[in-house]
Amino acid sequence: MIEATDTNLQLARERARQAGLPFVALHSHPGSADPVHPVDFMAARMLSEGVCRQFRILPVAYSEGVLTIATAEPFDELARSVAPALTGKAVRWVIATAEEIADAIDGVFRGSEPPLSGATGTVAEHPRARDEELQEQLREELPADGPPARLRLGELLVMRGIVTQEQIELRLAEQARTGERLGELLVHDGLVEEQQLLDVVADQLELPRVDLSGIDPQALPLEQIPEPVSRLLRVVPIGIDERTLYLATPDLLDEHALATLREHTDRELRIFLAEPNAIDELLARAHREAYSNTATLELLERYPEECANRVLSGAQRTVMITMALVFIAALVVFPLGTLITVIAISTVWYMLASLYKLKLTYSALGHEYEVDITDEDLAALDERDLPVYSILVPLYKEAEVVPRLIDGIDGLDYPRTKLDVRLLCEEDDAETINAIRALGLPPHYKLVIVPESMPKTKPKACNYGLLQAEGEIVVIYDAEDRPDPDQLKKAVLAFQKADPRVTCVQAKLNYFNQDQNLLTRWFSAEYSLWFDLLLPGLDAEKAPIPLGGTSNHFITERLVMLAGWDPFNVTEDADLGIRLHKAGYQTAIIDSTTLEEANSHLPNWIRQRSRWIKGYIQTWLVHMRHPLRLLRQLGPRGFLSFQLMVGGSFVVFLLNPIFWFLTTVFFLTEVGVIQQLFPSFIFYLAATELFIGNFVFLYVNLAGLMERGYFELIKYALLTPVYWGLMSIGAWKGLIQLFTNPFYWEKTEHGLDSTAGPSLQGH
Amino acid sequence: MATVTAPPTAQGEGTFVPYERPPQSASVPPSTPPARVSRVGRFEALVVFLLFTGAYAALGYQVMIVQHVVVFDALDRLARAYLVWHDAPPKLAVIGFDLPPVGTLALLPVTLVKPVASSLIGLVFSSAVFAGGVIVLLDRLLARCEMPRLMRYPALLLFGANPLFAFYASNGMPEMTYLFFLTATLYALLSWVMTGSTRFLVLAGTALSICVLTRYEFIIWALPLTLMVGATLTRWRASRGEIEGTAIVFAVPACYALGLWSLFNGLIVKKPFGWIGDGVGSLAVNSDQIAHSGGATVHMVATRLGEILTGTAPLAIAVLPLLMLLFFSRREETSLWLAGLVALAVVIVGADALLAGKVSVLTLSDGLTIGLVAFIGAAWIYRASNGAGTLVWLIALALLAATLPLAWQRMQTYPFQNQEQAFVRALNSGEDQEGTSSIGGYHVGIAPELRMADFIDRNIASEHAILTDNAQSYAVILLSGRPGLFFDRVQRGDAIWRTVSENPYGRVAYLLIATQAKQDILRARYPVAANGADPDFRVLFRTSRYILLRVPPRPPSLTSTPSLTLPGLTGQPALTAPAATSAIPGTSGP
Repeated sequence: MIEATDTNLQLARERARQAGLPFVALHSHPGSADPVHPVDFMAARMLSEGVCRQFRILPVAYSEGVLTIATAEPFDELARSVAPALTGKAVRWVIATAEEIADAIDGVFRGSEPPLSGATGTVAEHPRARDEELQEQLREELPADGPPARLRLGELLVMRGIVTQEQIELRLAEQARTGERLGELLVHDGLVEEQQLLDVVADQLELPRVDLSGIDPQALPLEQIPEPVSRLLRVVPIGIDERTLYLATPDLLDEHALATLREHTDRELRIFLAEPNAIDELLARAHREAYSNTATLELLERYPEECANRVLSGAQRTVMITMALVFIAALVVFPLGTLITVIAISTVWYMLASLYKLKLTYSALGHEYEVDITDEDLAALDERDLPVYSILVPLYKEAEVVPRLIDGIDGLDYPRTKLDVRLLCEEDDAETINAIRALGLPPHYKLVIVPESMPKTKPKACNYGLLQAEGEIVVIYDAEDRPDPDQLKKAVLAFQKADPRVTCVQAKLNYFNQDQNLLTRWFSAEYSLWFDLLLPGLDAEKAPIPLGGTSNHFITERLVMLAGWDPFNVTEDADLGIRLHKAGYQTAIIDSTTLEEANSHLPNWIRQRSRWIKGYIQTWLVHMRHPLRLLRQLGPRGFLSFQLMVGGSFVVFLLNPIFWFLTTVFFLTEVGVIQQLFPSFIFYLAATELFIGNFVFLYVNLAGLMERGYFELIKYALLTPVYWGLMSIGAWKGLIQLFTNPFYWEKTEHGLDSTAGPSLQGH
Repeated sequence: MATVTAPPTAQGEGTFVPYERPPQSASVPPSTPPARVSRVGRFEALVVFLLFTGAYAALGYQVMIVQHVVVFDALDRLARAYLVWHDAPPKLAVIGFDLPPVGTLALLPVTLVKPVASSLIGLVFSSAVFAGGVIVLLDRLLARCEMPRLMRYPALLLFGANPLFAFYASNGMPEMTYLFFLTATLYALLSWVMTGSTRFLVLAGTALSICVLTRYEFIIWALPLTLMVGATLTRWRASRGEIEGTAIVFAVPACYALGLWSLFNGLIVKKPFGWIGDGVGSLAVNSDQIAHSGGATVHMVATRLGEILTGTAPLAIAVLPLLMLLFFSRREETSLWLAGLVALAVVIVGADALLAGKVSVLTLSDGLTIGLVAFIGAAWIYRASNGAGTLVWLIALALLAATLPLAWQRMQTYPFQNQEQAFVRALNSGEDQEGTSSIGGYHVGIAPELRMADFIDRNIASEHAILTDNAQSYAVILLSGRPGLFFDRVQRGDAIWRTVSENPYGRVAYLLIATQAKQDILRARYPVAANGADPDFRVLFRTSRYILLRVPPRPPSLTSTPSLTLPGLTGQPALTAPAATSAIPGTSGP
């Protein structure tokens, strides 16, 4: 023990006086009247040894939320700011001599007997310590001398009385099974608060801790590290001086990360630990504009020809105007011939689209084109090997579904600590944001607030969420979705089993409120056909697949490489499916279903449908800006499939009412002019379409319902032609809106099914 | 017969377990076929198809093209299909409502190219293709029933070599069309029973719908088949909703097809259900129809049915009790349903004859359906008879072999037929049958038609110059290869045609009349001219069945006739004609 000299004591008393702080002696001095302050061993560990030695400070007591720290240098501003930041506690400063502080630090961190109050030789107990026996054991295990054995996290937590040994053992068993980290398990189980954990980890790693909530992003330190590097390494610069850059990070940085950082700064790096979510939030606050711009403009800047930010390209505009002029001229000169030609082209197009869809559905009826994943495969899955999975859930004015959403996500069969759930809220949606905050969600839930900017679309929100997504795989769910509980695991297995080029795994979608009314029944029939037959058929054809709106699982890295979703496209899902294919990637289908809420109100349904059709037209126009290039990228079969599936769909919906009108007028009036519009061979095709094609599509709807097992809906699906009429209304609305308000997102109102249970929950 | 004792496979095609629902085939990856199932690969199916189709086509070419055994019923359909493409203007209406439409529609592909149709090669080819399809489907069915390849081929050869089957496989009649769709229906339905796969049920329903529009009597089959679907699902302990939904999926195509057909009949000929009574087959221009008159008693019908059964499908006599036995011994309900179908195939034609009051309705071709269903029944017995499959196969083979001489004999003697006698005689003698006669009052050959067609082709050039009742003169129109020369009942509608037929002077230049066809409207309107005895209608050319007359430019009683313009020449007339569909713009669903 180094004795403080009288001179040092005197100097310390003087500094205390000057600073207006109390002076304490950390151990008694003969003849001295100075108050002796015992060192609380547990309180002392609230700062790491490194911090204590660097700043020559030592916590000596903790009571009623106030941490008493002894310092020899009361005028060290940095030390006085670091200590509260690292501990997150209110700090009361006292002055002690440097020698006594150094001596006490040795005692605390080197296992030598700490400075004691009186002569009892006992360690002051932490007020929160509960497990007396373990504490006693730990004390006995502390080496009397020499370097200390670093305590393990569980031991530290038990020692501090935060959890019990039994709780630790249970989580250790779970850790052995799932490979999850102990601390995260405890946090996710609500046994430890994230801040508490970070305190302990900081002590364990002997790193200082920082509370980021009160820190405003500062330009100078932020400028030192480029934003993408910060995002990638998940570090945020929080302070800077001449020699040092202070960084907050959720974990130790490895050599690679440190090397990367040193490429951007010559300053010494000083690391502080902080909660991961706090780092994300600070990064988002710091780079708000940059993130927002990236989410909005990344695709446009990297692949401008793939972005739907303009409806028509210059060449397309020229071609269309020319075609329109030629058409008008021809109509004037050869009215009948021109109309017959248009009808002939439409009819042939129609026929080809119908035949292609029939081929796909019939092919899918007899085969299982989904990636084959058996129960045995699922049972054999080692959870320790599962990757981190990001779930993006865009929400807008959906506060009422948030509790159900959370219940649903909790119902997914996937290690929680490997989940990275990002709830994407628009900045102006205070209600939903507050609803999420009020729930006090565990740390794998991240509230991401998307800054207000145009276009205000779901894909832009998803891009924003993708920026900080931690998962190797990322999936989109809507708030009301109810995926099969094992869907994430199936997707992981699908990626393992499928062709290495598979970048997206699409799960099937259907509806949980199918029986609500006739509209929802028709909607279910349509989805059964689309997801159970058509998409698997496309998969088998190795054709580009227009993805469904949710439950598409991506390899994050590749999705980022593709610049995410097109924020200007209102069916960004379908568009992304095409872009994936163009980039040489593939989409696979898995036999796992996500149940959604079908639109049960007609006006709401029309709005949704108009957006879908508008998006399909957008998608077709975007990819047809360079038809020859598209042909090269997709190949002849893929190109044809794109024309028939994407182009064919909206053309059919748009044409239907015209042909139906002509048919009706003809039957009612038998006017000759209509007959003249359909010369024999065109008539044969048209009649085949009308009488056979229509029925075939009705029939494959029934088959789709059978395949899905929705037998009760089959009789209702017989009325599907009425539904096609509604589709056409939506199609025309969408077409008109494409030119009047191209990027407007027709929001689908959810929560119309009063019987809806938990979202995202197993069924 | 080791296959019947194979362990259960993924598709439920191993050990025969009658009461267990098979797992959905959709859960089985396509790359893992059940180990013991003898599947028919695409290549094998193609080879079988080409062999049989080629054989039937060669036979048809020899008998029809070389030896001139032409069935006029087939010729009528071929001409209609031909006119769908090549009339001036082409009209779908020519298909008409007097016959089930699919028999004609099936010929559309082979009439697209004029020479293929007018040479009659298309006719041969069409039935040969459908017959080849029947054999392939039967091959697949036998394979599904676990019959090894070496056992399947002899059975198929004997079935396909049946002279009655071979005749209809090569003569262009619609029999092969409906047999193909019936086989498809039963194959798919039994496959569904074996696998539970939606695909097969959809296929079965679709095939049945086409079948009923090829031959209306199969409407009656739809009911027991639908009940069979329901009973099978009940056995599988399916829910009520599943039974209802599945039955709808199976039955709705047939309902739609008949509904649509009734709608057309209602809209165009104003008799929505007229087809139920009118579908009696076309009138053979080359027959005096004498043999087709007369009444029908139960005894007469039973006798003729017995002749058909023993002569063309003796297999049915063995299969029916065996299926019943299978049901009673093993409670295997599908056997009962198949037994019911065999019985239905027999009873339905008998009942038809009794209802029609004409025993002549019982034609020899009715044996085809009975024979086919019996063959399928035998396949099922083979599948179900664990350990006794070889015996079943041997019995079936013996009966199929016995059918060959029996059918050969019955074709030469049975009174109600479509020139089967001429067919047998042609094969026996190898001689041209032109000008001979065949049982049923048939005058074999098409020389009169060919000569008239040739004359017209060489001497007439004006469009729409020959007024003719195409319902009787179809063969001449077809064989001429120039339908634009004729003014038929479809081109501008029946009403306009009748107007012109009342007053053809100045409107057309010629009349073509089928002189022996009582139904020829022109023959009825101009009986004297049809005999070549009207001096105002100069005979230009005549054959034993047709006469071509020159129409005077003005009515004989008038000195002058105003210049007339044919209505509808420049535009489409109003659609008031019977047997005419309307030009309807068509659309489809998404």
